[in-house]
Amino acid sequence: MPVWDVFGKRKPDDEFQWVGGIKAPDVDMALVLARETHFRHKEGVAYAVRRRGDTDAALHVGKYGGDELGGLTDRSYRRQEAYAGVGARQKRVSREFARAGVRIDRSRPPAAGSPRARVPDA
Amino acid sequence: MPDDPRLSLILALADDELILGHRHSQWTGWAPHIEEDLAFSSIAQDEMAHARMLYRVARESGLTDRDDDALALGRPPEEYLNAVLCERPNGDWGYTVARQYLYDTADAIRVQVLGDSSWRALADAMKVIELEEKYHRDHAVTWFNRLAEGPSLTARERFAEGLTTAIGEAIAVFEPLSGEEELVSEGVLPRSNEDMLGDWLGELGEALEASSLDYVLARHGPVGEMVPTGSGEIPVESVDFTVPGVVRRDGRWMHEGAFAGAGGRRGRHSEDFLPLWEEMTALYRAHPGAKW
Repeated sequence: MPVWDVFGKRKPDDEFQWVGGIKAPDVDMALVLARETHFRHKEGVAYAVRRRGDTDAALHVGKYGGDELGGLTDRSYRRQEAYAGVGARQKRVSREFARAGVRIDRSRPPAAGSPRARVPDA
Repeated sequence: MPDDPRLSLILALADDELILGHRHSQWTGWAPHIEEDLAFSSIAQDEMAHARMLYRVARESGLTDRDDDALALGRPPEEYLNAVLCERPNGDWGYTVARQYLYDTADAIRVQVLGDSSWRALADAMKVIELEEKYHRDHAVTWFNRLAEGPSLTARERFAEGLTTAIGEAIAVFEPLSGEEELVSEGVLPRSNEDMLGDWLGELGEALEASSLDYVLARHGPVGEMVPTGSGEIPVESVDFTVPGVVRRDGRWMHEGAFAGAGGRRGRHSEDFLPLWEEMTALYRAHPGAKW
């Protein structure tokens, strides 16, 4: 199956930049697939494909604009946001445990059998 | 059945998207190639996002006090109003693409019609959904052309088989809703389902004729038998569910006859629904009210 280079613009005034490649049987399918493989997380405002090797040929520009790339409905469930603010939460929990007399900020004891667990020769 | 016909309407729309989205998502990791895997999974997520948006409209309009999770996962099987087409297993890629094409072209018509609904919140939601559904239709049409016109005869045959299997049940996407007359007279549903079915069959006939695949319309399979999905307390319809036939008249494909019995829009489903429901709602039922 032919390989297509995929190009994108981050901002409307940018030039098209190479962002990756896909396999597709023809230009229509290449454009359909390029949109979701490379722009589904709002990575750009315009996209285009060109068959790899056809460096002199013009780009085939996709018809969907920036506001439609990456969707319009609530996609928060696609993003992993649970790690945001984890450091601060950990510090807060440590402080609370410390107040209660529990230390959780010490390094973990070495696992049995690990070199660190061996008692050095006297 | 819901007392308010507006709830029947919005659940029919949302449940179609939820259940078809669930089926589409089962291709994740199995689609014919990795680019398609991403694109189709993305479409599955879009459909579920549309369902969620519509469940929220139902709640914000005061039609239900259940939230989107409770509506999507907390209802007994007989309260789901999706068309049977959406619950069928994926089969091969030919059936999957045929179903997506038939569903998305049918959906396009009702989404456009409902964009003019007198129910403002629904009309607004439809405008957003329409923009995303455009891409789904592009995807389906590109695959239609590829399979129908592509170099592989096997692909064309399997696609045609998929269409033949799916068309009868795709017609039932337009099964009349409970309380439809009231919805139409109030402008909530600006055009009746039968009216929209006529438009859809006309357009579908033209597209199929252009690829010499219109024979699938004349040859399409019947809808399957509906089985009881509930506790047995719902009265069993004595008439089997049947959909109008399809004929070519005056150079145009159109429907002939009427719907009989009750299908998905009345909460009656095929034997494929219960296993899907059990899997889809298992976690929700195991941990009622859990949050993450």
